[in-house]
Amino acid sequence: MNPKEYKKYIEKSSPAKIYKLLSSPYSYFILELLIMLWLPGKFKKSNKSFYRNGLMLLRQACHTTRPVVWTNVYTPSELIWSMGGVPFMPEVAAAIAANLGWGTDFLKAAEGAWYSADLCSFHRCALGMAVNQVLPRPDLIIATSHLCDGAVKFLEMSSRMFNCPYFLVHIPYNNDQQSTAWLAGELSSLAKELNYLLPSSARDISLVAARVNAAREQMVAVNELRKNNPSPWQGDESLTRIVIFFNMLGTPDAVKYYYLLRKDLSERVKKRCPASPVQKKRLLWLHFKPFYSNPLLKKIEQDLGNVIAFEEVSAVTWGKLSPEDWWGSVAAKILSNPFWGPGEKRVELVLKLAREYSCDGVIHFSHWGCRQSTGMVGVLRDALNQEGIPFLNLEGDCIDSRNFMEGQSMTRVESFLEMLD
Amino acid sequence: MDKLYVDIACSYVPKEIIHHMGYTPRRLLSPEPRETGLLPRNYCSYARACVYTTGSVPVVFTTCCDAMRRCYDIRRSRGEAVFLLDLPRQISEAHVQYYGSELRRFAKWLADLSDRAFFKKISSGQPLLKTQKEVAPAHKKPIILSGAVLPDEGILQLIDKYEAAAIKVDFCTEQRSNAEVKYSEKEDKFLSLARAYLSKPPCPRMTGRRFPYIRELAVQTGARGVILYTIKFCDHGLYEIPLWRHLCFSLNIPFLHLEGEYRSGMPAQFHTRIQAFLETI
Repeated sequence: MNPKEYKKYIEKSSPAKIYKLLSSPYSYFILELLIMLWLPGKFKKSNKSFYRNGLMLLRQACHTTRPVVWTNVYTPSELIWSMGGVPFMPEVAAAIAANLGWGTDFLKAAEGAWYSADLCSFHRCALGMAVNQVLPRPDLIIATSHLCDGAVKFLEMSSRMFNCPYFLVHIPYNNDQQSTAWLAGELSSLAKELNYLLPSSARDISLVAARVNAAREQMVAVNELRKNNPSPWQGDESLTRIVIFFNMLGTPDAVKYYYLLRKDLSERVKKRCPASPVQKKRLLWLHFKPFYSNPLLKKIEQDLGNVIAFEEVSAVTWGKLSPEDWWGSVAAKILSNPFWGPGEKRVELVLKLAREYSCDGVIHFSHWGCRQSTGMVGVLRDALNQEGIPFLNLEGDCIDSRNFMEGQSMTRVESFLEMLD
Repeated sequence: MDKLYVDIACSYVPKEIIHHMGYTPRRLLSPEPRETGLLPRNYCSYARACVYTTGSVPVVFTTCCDAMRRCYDIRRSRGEAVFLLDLPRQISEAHVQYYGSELRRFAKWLADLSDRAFFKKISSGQPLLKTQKEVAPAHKKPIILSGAVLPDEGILQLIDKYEAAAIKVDFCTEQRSNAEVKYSEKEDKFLSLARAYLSKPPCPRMTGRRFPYIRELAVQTGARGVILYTIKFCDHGLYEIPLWRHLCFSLNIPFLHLEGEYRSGMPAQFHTRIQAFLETI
């Protein structure tokens, strides 16, 4: 794609002028100030902290003082923070765009640039945003090969689009000592290679490791609190907040956010004030949720009186990071990802979570275009059936509202929940 | 004596190792897929066909795509003899070392399977599929046919029927399947194999080398048109569309994208589209 073609796409997009505001750091600065004045109803402190975190990240990414590093979700953001860069995950930006109701415009822009509608809509939407030049320009792109093929390809295409350096880290399939050592070596070599692009320093590593460990401690405590019945938190909200884990780990703000969240949830448990008054059934949610405005989770949690007690993406499956063995511990963290490696890893986690969170049923949200997750549905269904845990596979799309069939989804959810009664 | 087969689902699996362990490598080309409910409807039909097939023949998958990883998981959950090779996307020395160790693990698995001793010497490579001539007859229009797995071989006859010739059939199941292995006394054989297979013409999954490769294909072959023929829902194939389109636009070569299902035949629409496309050349 050449710049003239991009310009043509931008001109074609009617809301382009509004999007221009998104690339200004001042917009986020003003919003941050407004957030200070905002008084949300429940979870006052952690809610404020969540939004401030997001706005601060966008402000930093749009400001040109620090190098912006595009990367995919599940690439440990602490790696980039520790090297002095600002990690920016276009997949997260796609979720925000969908949440603001702009998803379809960007998806159409990507489709206009020959990206097929059968590709994952997280990547398509992000490509549409890139085509429309609303994302902060990357100084370099680092992709990790685990989780999905789409992310690797999407980031490679983006590096061609922005003509910036692209680094791909191969993540070994097996989680063993040999693989950890090999990956640690790769990460360390990458850091050396990036010395000329990122202002890294050894001092940052111990500081960042300490922050990640502190946030991890709070995350584990939050997950422990969510085992309470009735549940102190709803899945609809927690599935949105996952972006802090993806993007902000390694910053003091993430530690603060998880600390405040833990405090909010503890108070709820102590005061016997659950997330919702009626919690007939406890559910485990697999994969992400639809981020655009839609009634699915509200229907499950509020209208039908159930609760998503936990979601697999919030599970802390990784150990503490060690400043002494930084690369080894980051490699171990990456390899502990339950979505990478043999499918049994994910099955084991799902069964464990269903037991630990006393779930009555499991719902898998099959995001259109996500091959790595939807391909596991058959195996998950069999494993859960063997354990006698009811399972529902719900087809839809996290970003593209055009792929969400409201009537059909609602009927299926209602039938499933009736069956649990 | 009947041959003992090992099915391979990726062109990056070294056939030399399979031969040496007393097996005959065979490309996994299952019959057309049927609905099993194991994989969703919006899934690569080649993967669905790979899952549908069951049997006693050992199968080697690679981490070449999400769909193949899931095929491995599903067949493994059925207790079948399956192996997964972790395939890097790059070709640096570290990746060659890594893939070499994966190949050693693969040879060990085959040795355990066959009760045959771990090999010391590797026989030379034997191509699985015939390679095509790269020169078109004078009266036929030279074109490139590209994609990941060739969805249906019928397209070759169709191209021929409309007075064109595919001078390059750039598919994993066709001309990209063979690697030229050069062994050295100084180097471990597994490393030589790893190097050779990672250096073979890159598939759409590979990072960094794919675009220079297709540009070279388009320029050096003197092709007068490009047909990208992909399987529906194949992510690697789908990301090739903007790549080829941009390249063909810059080289002023007509480009056609066809999307089909694995072994689904040539629908009438393809006849019309190919005929119309070849008329523009």
